[in-house]
Order: sequence, then C-alpha cells, then structure tokens
Amino acid sequence: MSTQRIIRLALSILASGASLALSWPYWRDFGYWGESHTMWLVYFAVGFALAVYVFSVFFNSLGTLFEHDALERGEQPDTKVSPSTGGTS
Amino acid sequence: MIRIEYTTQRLSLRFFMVMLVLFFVQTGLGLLLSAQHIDPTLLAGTLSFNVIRTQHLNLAIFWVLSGFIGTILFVGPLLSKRELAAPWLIKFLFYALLAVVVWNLATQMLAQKGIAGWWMGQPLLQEGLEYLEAGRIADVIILIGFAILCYVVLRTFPPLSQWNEIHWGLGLGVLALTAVWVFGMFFVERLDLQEYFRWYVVHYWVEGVWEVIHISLVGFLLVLMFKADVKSVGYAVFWGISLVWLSGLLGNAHHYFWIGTPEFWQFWGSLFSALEPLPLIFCFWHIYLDAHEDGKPISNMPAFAFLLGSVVLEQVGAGILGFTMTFALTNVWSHGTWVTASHAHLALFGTFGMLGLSAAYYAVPIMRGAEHFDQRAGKLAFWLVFTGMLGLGFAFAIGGTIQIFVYRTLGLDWFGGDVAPAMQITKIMVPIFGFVFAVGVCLLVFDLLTLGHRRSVVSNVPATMMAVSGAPTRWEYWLTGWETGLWLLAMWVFGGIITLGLLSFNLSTVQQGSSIFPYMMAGVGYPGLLLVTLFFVWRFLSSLEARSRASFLPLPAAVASPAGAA
Repeated sequence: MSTQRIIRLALSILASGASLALSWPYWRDFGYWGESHTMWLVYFAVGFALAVYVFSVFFNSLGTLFEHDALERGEQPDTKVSPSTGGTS
Repeated sequence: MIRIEYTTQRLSLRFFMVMLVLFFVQTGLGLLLSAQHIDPTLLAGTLSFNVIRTQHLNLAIFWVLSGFIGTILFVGPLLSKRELAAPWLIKFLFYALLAVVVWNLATQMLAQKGIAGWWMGQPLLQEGLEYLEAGRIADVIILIGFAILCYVVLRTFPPLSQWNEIHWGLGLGVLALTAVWVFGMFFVERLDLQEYFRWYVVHYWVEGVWEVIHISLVGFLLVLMFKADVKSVGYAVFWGISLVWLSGLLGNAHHYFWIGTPEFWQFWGSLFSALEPLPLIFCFWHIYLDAHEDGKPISNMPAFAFLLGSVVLEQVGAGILGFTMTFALTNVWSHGTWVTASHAHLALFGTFGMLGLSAAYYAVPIMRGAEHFDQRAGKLAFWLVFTGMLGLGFAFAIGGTIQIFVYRTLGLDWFGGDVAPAMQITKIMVPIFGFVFAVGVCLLVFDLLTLGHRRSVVSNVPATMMAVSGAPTRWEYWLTGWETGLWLLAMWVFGGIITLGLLSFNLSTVQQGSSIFPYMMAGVGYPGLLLVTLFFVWRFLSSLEARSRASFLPLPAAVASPAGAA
C-alpha cells in the first residue's frame, strides 16, 4: 500500500471517528439509546465501516481529479500568467 | 460567447422569464412575512402568515424548477447536437406550469377557511404537508409535466451508448425527479408514516435529484464558459453524483429524528448526513480549476458570478450549515427554529436559485443577440442579492440561537410573549437585509427582462475589457489552489465552531440557564463563516476581473504559494 493510500485511509478513519463521535448519544445521558445495546454496537460498527468507505472514495476520487488536472496542464502549452494550480490532495 | 445554434433553444427563454416573475413575487411575499414577524396583526385574516409562508415556499420550488427546465432546454440541444424533440409538448408544458402555479396560489388561500377539498379520501384542493401543500389535482398536473420533461430530454439525447456523464446526470435527474414525486401523491392516515413519504419527496429532491441536476448543469455551464474538457468535468460530475447518493440516501434519516420513528435512525441519520457535504467539495474545486484553466478574461461576468455564488453557497449553506445541525445532538435543539431557516435560505436560494439566475444571464444575451451587453447592472444585482442573503442567513442564525435558548432551554412560553421580545433585534434585521436582497432582485429582474430590448453599452469590445485600468492590487492577483484551500478550511473551521455551539446546549451548565457558551460560539461562528464567504467570493471575482486589465502581471514565482492543496 502506497504512503498516499495509507494517509487517505488514516484520514478516512479519523473523519469517520469524528462523525461517529458527533453521532454518539453521550451528552443526552443515553436517553435515545435503543433497548438492545448489542444492536447499537452493530449499528456503530457497520456505520463506521461504511463511513470509512465513503470517505475513502471521496479522498481517492478527489486525488484523481487533481492528478487529471495536473496531467491536462502538462499536455497544454503554458498560456497562463501564473504558476500551475494542479497538485494532489 | 457562443451564438445560438439550435432554434428550439429559444423555448427556454419563456421559462427563464417566468422564473424571474415568480422570483420577484416570492421575494415580495418574503418581505411581507418579515413584517408580519414584527407585527403579527398585519393583514391577519386577509393574508395570514401561515398561508403566505406556504406561498413563499411553494413559489421557491416553482421558480427553481422553472430555472431548471429553462437551463435543461437551453443546454439539451448543445449536449445532443440536435434540436429538442417535440417542441409542441414543451409549449404545452409551459402553459401547464403557468396554470398549476396560478391554481396552487389560489387554492392555498382556502387553507384560511379550512377547505381541503376532500373527495374519495384525497385532499384535491390543498393539503397541509409542508413543502407539498399543493392539492391532488395540482399533484397530477405536476406529474404529467415532469413526464413531459422526461420524454423531451430522453428523446432529445443521443442513443445511450453515446452518453457522457453529463447526459447520465441529467437523464437520471429528470427520471428521478418524476419518480420521487409519486411518494407525495397519496394520503396516509398515520402521521409518522406520512412523514416518511413526505421526506422521500422533499429530501430526495433537494439532497438527491436536484443536487444531481445541479452538479450536471454546473459542469456543463463550466464547459460552455471556459471551454473546459467535458471528460474532466464529467469525472467530477460522476463522483459528485456517486457521493450524493452514497451519503444522501441514508442521510434522509436526519428528518426522522423527532417524528416518532425508531431510535436507530438517530445514528444513521447523524452519521450519513454528516457525509453529505463531501460531493459539494467536488463542485467547489471544479469551479476553481475550470476558472483557472487559462488566464483569459471572463466574457460574461454576471453569469459566472451567479454560478460561483451557487457553488459557494452550496458549500456554505447546504454543506457547512447543514452539517452543523445534522447530528441528532444538535438537531434536537435546532429543528423547527430560525437556525434551520438560516440553512434553508442559503441552501435553497444559494444552490438552486443562483444556478437558474446564472443560466439566465448566460442564455438570455445569446438568445436576444446582445453579446456585448452592459454587465454593470448584473454585477451590482449579484452583490446585492449575495450580501442580502448572507445577511438574512446571519439574522436567522443569531435569532435562532436566541430562540433555542429562550424557548427550548429556559422553556419560556412561545405564545405567552416571552420569546418574541428576546428575538426582537434579529426580527428587525431580517427585513433590513431582506430589503437589500429585494433591491437586488428588482435590479436583476429588470435587467434580464429588458436585456437586449433597451439601449445599453454596445461596442466592439467585450464589456469586461472596459474595466478600470491600472496595476492590480494584491487582492486581485491570481488565486492559487493553495489559497483557495485555505479559504475553504477557514469556512469549515467556523462551521466547526457553530457545531460545537449547538452541541453545547446539551451541557448541564447551559441547561441550568447559562447562555454564555452557545451565544459566544454562535457570535464567533456565524459572522466568521459568512464574512469568510463574502470575502472569498470578492477575492475570487476580483482576481478574474483583473484579467481584463492590459497591465495585469502575474504574482512573481518567488513569492507564489505552493499549488493545488486539497
């Protein structure tokens, strides 16, 4: 796994963790927990995995978007009046 | 600027004109609503607040849809390289739209008398479902209208094998627009179940279908304005749509929190609607990348300004403000308050309304043969509606924060006159900013209605080339990807502060009557977010305006920032 992929995965886990933390009914004294705590844990696990997947898709595709842009700029004669704005996330 | 290539593109003009008229009326009703908030007895019983609010919401949907239809009809032939199919059906669609708008406006007034027109178990004249107040008769006509739009779009498009991502986006968009409308077309006696179906329409429209249509149209307008590569725009459109559905389908659960549905929705709704801003980042970055493809002057600045406004307010109003109130723990306080109104105004007008206005500013000059039209009124109108709407967002957000504390935390009585005095200052701010917005609306409606018909600056030189000469300031230098990333980061930092402020209502100190923390966070977060938004758009447009200066010089490489941070 490339360093870039590891960074993206780490960011996805971090972002999903933050989203999960904000979805946690801690501050309301668990007043909105369902009757089955086991089911809640299943929701958290599945939801977290799905969120990591969505974030990964986002980071990878955004990275490719910038790579495309950098490639296109590389192919064109430089008519711009500024430094290139391409790059990777 | 391109010249009109297909005769049937002209059919879009009537939809743009209707859009402007409806927008004008809707703004007037908004001003009336803000006045009624200050004096609740104003026109009570004649034009009651609840009915006018309904008209205000319904007109918002109608004029946005008119803008969508106009834009789709204008770009359809360009996408398909042939004339629109069945022009007579489009003319019929136009009259059906007019009829349904007038019918709906008239039948909503029956709500004051409690007449719904029940027959065979269906409310035929009007029903009290928020956003879907049209009665069943109007519902059926709207469904036929959508079906006509689907037929025209799909018949106009080339064979499926030749579709690119923009074809797919618009094709799926108009089909889904029609499909989800059906969920709102039957009466369910159980209210919690009815709410599910209501949100299938409302949420899947604004955070599913409309967003898909929006991403596709923004993409194609960028192709037209900047000669951007359809392939690279298509890439952003494809992933944008994918992420809209990956996050938005389950994200609908943020509407199920407080309507009597099972608790597990609080987790799913919180988590997945928090992911909904992700696709909006694609739109945001693409408008930056395409606008900086080369250093050429922008030939139609009002069209681009409204397109930029649409994408930026989508990020700020829908993405960031939506994020702040999408968790069960923040939404439990914000739902049904002015905090939601702040998000709704910036998101709905900003994202979808400004797209229609951008498309109108792009298409109308071409159709009226006014290539070198005077752009000053359009640019001024943009700034008036943009700052007016940001101001409205601020007034609603601060008013909503006070409302949450006084009404939900202290538990003071809404009808006992305790809440309104606490919100009084913000209630006065709404019509003030609303007036600024309304002046902008009057100006842009006048400008677009008369564009090409009145005497305006016509010359052989594009209007943008007539900019002020002189050396550009630092504020006008080329906008790098790095700087754009910093602006975006600043917006999200303030969004985070607002989120923490709403979360703080759960703290025991706040529950016991201390407003310091939520008020401080809202006092920093909302002005910070809205000012950063204002300055970013100013900075973006200034850097583009500077391109038309003959003396424009690039930022020296030695001090140029690193590029392309995401």
